[in-house]
Amino acid sequence: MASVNYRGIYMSFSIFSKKISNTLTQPMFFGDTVNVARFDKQKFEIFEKLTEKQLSFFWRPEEIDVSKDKMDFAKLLPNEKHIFLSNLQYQILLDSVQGRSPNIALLPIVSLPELENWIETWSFSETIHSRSYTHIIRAIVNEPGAVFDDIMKTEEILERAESVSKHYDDLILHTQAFLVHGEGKHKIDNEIIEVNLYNLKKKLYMTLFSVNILEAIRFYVSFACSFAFAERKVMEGNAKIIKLIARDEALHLTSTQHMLNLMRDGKDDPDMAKIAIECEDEVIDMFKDATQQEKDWADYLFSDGSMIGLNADILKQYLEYITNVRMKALNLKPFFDECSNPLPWINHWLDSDNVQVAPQETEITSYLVSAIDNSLEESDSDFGDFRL
Amino acid sequence: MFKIDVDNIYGKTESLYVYGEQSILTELEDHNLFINYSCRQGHCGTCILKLLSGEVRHQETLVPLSKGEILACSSVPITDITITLRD
Repeated sequence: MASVNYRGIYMSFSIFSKKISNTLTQPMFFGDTVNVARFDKQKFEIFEKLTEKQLSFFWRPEEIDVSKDKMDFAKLLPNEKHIFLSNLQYQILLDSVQGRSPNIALLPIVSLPELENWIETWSFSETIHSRSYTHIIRAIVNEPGAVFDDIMKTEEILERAESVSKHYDDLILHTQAFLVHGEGKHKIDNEIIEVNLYNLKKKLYMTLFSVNILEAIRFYVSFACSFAFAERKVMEGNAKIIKLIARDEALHLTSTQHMLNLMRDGKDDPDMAKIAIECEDEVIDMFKDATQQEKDWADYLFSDGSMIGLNADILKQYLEYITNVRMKALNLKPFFDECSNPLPWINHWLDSDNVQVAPQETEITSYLVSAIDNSLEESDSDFGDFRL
Repeated sequence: MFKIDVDNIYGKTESLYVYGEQSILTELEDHNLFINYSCRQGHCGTCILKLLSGEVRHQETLVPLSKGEILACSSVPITDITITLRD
């Protein structure tokens, strides 16, 4: 198999290339493939820090008691059941995609060990989310199969599936063609596809934005629905799980935010900085398309009626608010009018183990406990006069 | 009570009085002063501010900070402080 690294040099593809490569000089993607998984010296330490944080957040769905939710669900009005289940089905779809796609799409092209490690940890944590949804559904309905089967029969959900997977699929197809055949025109499934490295990098750039939108916007709109039930003190087991999922997703969206900002700021492959300028309009269009889809989805969710604390209008306002937040974090100019958070209570669910409460009042939710700082600094002046 | 002196953040210069129980980010929002943020958990770096004077209690963060920089989402004042945007 032949491939081209980012300097345009042909080399045989291998999962352990014998080429000696300086990891500190490689770009995040399309550089020399990773051979030794080493983390002693790193180009971008943020990715290992994210990995460590994600590992410290490790949780198992079975730890969360969702038994009370069955009674709560049975008492929900029919339209509320539609909102709850449709929202859950959408979350199942998103995590089904995310549990496999970062690995399939990004591992073959990543060229930094710390980033490769993060991608694997990220994908793995999404699989925990997938298993947690089955845990919830088993607890609340007598026939869990019907809920899952429904996902593939509901047009509105399948439309979302197409929109969240199309950039991934395009990147994967062209990457596979590139890794097998190199640059050029190739016939695949009776279609000619043209592969060149620069365009492949563009596809990666757009895919990273699509992924960021998925985790930073689409998921957060779904969290708003989940937590709206818990604000009424129903489906609280589900909310506890979604809180843990949200804590993970905050790390994931941060990772694509960092990747995109590093690329745009010229701190990575110089091609990516050029691509960032060329693709600016296309990126804004992607945000516009995604947010319109989410608004259409909100209409579907509430098509049988709204619930206390949330309706289609408020959810759309939250969508606009969170889209502005995410675009500003990516140094993009928002296109929605400036607005305040219409769901201020959501921060209580999203801010985990933060500075707002005294430690003795919180349930410690991090896997790492009793971490101590062994260093002695000037501030440890109590020991200043100590002599043996 | 602590005083947070906001020095020209998006054109606003004013003083807030807080109890030091909420993050600087939340305090600013409660006073209708909106800065950029994203993760609210100390790992994205979007809410970075400059601490011009005073001290804060700062949670562990993943983002490298230069001297004088703080993350608004991860810090609470423990003295009167003055903050501004990073250049």
